[in-house]
Amino acid sequence: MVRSTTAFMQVLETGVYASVQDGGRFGYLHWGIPHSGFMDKALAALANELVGNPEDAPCIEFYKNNLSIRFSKSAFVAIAGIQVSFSINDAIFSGTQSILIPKGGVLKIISLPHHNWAYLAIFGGFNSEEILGSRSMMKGVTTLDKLYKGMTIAYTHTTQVSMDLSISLGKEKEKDINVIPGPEYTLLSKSIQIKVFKKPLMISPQSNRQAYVLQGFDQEIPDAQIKSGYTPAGTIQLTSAGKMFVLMNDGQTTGGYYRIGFIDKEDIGRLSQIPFGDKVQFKMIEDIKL
Amino acid sequence: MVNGLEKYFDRTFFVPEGIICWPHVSYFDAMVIFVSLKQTPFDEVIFGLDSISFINFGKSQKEIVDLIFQHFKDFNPKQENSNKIITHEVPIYYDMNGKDLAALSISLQMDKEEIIYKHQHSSLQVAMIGFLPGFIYLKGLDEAIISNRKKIPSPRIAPGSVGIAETFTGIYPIQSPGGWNIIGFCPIKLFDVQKKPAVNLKIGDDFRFYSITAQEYAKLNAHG
Repeated sequence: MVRSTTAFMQVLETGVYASVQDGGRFGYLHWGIPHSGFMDKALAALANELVGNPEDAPCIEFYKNNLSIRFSKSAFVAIAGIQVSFSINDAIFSGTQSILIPKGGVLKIISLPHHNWAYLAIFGGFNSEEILGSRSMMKGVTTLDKLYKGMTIAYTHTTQVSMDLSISLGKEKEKDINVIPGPEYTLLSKSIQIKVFKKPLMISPQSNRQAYVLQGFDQEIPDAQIKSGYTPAGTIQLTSAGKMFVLMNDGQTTGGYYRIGFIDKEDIGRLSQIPFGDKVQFKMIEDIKL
Repeated sequence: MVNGLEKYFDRTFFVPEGIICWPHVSYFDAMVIFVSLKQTPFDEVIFGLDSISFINFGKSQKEIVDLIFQHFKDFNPKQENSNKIITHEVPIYYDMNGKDLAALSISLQMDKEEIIYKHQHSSLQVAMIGFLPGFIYLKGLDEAIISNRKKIPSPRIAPGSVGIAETFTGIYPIQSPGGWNIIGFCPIKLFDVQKKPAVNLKIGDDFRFYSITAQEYAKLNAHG
């Protein structure tokens, strides 16, 4: 039998950035509301699966380390991240796994060495604010745009616990990120077309859930402007000053810069995990599957 | 289909994930298409300033083209546009001491008062909502006050700020960085996710600003 009551977790430390995310908020792009949702859907789905939740159930998505949370009642949770290590009270654990946190227990993320984003899922789910069908935190939509130190989040406390599971996730081999041409790609001169994705580009540390900033191209493209049009997550924008951005899940819904390419849907999650400061090689796929 | 929309099928641009984009859509057509979408078979329809994109998750691009064709088969632009034109009257506090207005006065070689007068007497219409949640684009700015965006965007623009850039007026719903030339502040929330619907504007609606004082602004300010 499952008994459930409401319990609270208190955020003791947020690390650089942490937020509640779920599968996303759909149907409101025409109001300028982006889809938001997990940066790495596959990894979040794994976290949810480890506690028996639907794959798009809300999780706490956190960047790197130092997230720290105290649980008012016992909680069956999963932490998913490549070679993540964390502590519960004084005990240290490493690797992706589901685990029972005792009443009053403090979870702290110690390190996430290779990736940007990792996930905390909880059996029963987070009861944070839901707006327009989603709990994904988003500035201008939800009351809070991210987790803040000291805040509390309600969750469903249950007595039912399935087995603790752990999964060994290896670091993925580096592969090119596939790109399909965007509407304004053909407006670039041939020489720019050849040059723009030729060399690896660095993902700037100024990147975030709105946009990944790419460094290393920097060639001015005079008059590279359009009338503001749709920019899905994964749009690669090129400004007239030669700056490049990949718009991510919380990115602007429309934009006036050239859309020179779109990241292949299958590769957006992998791109989101490339550490800030590392380089990425894009590869243009000319034959698009329609 | 003999309703003037045939040409957009020829211009269809395919974007990943089953997204169809029609570039270079006329404003009139965007207006009537927006109205026709009260009953929509699409998961998302995104209006740009001169484009419309259609999305159906999990459907192929061919299936979406078929859906678009079905939806607009019996579409009659004239009939759709027979709806009454709505005019929104919205307060604005024109900030005569603002830095951006002073800079505009220099670049346009025009008195601040004249810029404000021309702004207030422009025949503005809702062009689109996009960029940020609830960011409203209005078209129809008096040609004499067309300006460029600021070279260096401001890191922090207050919610409710009203700016002009190129041929548009934009209203910032939330604090954000931005490059529009701020000329005033609108105290009321035109976009509020706590309300149903969150926004009461549609493409093609007329929009008129009426001027209020700083004191009235302070009294009405709903942005907190």
